[in-house]
Amino acid sequence: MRQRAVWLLAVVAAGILSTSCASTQEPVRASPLPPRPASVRVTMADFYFVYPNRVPAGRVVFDVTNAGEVPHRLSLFRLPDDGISAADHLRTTAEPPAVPLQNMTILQPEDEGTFAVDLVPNGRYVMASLLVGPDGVNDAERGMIVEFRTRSQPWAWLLLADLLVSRNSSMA
Amino acid sequence: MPPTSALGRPKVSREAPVTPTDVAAQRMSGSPAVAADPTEDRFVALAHGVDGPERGCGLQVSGDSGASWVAAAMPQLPEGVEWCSSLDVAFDGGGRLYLLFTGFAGPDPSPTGVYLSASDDRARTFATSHRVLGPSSRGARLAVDPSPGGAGTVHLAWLADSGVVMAAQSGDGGRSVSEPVEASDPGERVGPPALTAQAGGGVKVAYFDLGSEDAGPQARPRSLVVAVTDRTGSFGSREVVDAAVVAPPQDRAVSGDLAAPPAMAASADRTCLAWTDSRFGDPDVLLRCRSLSGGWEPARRVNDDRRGSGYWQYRPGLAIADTGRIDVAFFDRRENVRNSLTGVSYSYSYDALRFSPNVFLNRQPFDATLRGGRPSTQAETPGDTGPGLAVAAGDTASLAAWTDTRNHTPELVAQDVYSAQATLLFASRRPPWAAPAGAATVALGAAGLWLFRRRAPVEP
Repeated sequence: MRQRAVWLLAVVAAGILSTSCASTQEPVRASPLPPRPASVRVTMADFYFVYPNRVPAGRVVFDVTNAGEVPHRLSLFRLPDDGISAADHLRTTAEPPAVPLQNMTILQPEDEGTFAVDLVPNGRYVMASLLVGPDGVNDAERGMIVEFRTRSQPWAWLLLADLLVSRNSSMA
Repeated sequence: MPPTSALGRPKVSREAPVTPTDVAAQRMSGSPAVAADPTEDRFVALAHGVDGPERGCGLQVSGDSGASWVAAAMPQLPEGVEWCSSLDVAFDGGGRLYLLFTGFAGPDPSPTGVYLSASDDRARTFATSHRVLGPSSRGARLAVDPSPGGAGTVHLAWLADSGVVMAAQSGDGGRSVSEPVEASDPGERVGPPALTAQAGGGVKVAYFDLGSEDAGPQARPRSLVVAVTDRTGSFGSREVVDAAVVAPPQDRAVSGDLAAPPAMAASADRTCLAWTDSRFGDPDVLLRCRSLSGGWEPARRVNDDRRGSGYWQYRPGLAIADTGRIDVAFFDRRENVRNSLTGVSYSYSYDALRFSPNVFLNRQPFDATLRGGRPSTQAETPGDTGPGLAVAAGDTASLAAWTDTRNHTPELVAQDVYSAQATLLFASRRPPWAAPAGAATVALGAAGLWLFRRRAPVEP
């Protein structure tokens, strides 16, 4: 009896293999495929960002979600190393005023968006939401502003970056 | 309306940003051309133009079938060329990547010619670019003989200054080019060409006939023509595929604002054309196909909104998979009452008669009345986000890439290229017997197990 069961299972397995193996084809090229770009998941909440501890340089894809209950809008700035705080740069006390690398459309609650940027090594960047609320106060003044510096990191760190996330505190 | 119930709804991937955004620099990328490596369909190359801050072009590559993209180095520009534009890409059957671009120089600026370069190592390095066409060649397109093993003949088609579509070929990667031949009738006034090449050397060129009596740059497409090479390599026959083309409103055709050519794709046993047509009251995407054994099928409307809805569908991209699946993607404004925000829709067919339900490939609509990130002077022109969509067909998935202005704001200029995949279940290249045989085997196995358990003696 047990032999019959084994035989039947073997037949079932062969059937499944016949459907799956028939569609595979081994590539025969020597050159490696291009690497995937680094990916950074950013969650916008009310009123802070959740984002990876380390953001690498090079091509980086930002996947942004609004998990809050009010709309937010992510802007990404590159700032000079001039000692002026990010908040002051965005209040345009600096000259010239900062212009964003990216200025996403407004994300309503539960909306998602994605964009790619090329970040320079050891560059100084700021993520902020400058959306003004009904009370005239913008999200950055409530805490949605965070500064980070890009790093060239070993692969292990890049893999860990997705796991190690930060919740920023107010810099305003 | 053809029945669509038999064709399943594809699964749409997340959109992928192909080009990097840089609002601060007012970077404007667009006009994608895309091709997948036939020896490894995870490798995809996408060439695109850059309209600002300085004009130029770029190349992005993917190692995961278009799910993500990184920049690749462009070939070194030839001496005397300051920037490049009007790109096209293609692979030969051995995986060699060809890149075609038009060079420009000078303050005017003036075209310097059309150049061809090739890469054998997945766009890590490119061979020296060869000038294959002169500076008066407009709308140049590239196709490569896809015969397995590679070293396929490179075919070129373009619109000459004389207003005639010309074609030539190169068997040595662009070092030498054959004497050009006329693909369109010199008596016709025509638009720029679409081009396909088939294994063994057959070449087809498609273009719009603009009508010989029209003068000036306002000439509009009136009929759709396909020219096919004969055994001698010249275009022995020209066939009017559709003589009732109704051009979309204000679709400029010539003289510096080239009309989009029709989209054309061919497999071993079928040739298909897709184009924008207003014969049903507003711009729609129409498709006609011809199999080896028959004539051209009647024109089919690919977009499945109500006929005469007033919403525009336009500028299709087209590809045919090895499995025979016909993929069509197009700009689609049906969800915007002001008819300005656009999405990108996708549909497929196996017989060019019945199409799957249209699905949107983009989650976020964008303003189609922007050209080059700035308000278009021809805001009513379909296709004002660039020269159409690019589509590449894999066995189980279709990849579409398009010019996208979602990151543009009234204050800050931005134009990018985005892509998305439509994946089809049960559409792989398995032999036709595999699925029923597998299913029957599984069913038999299950039945056997059930019988075995039923008859097994119960232990006391």
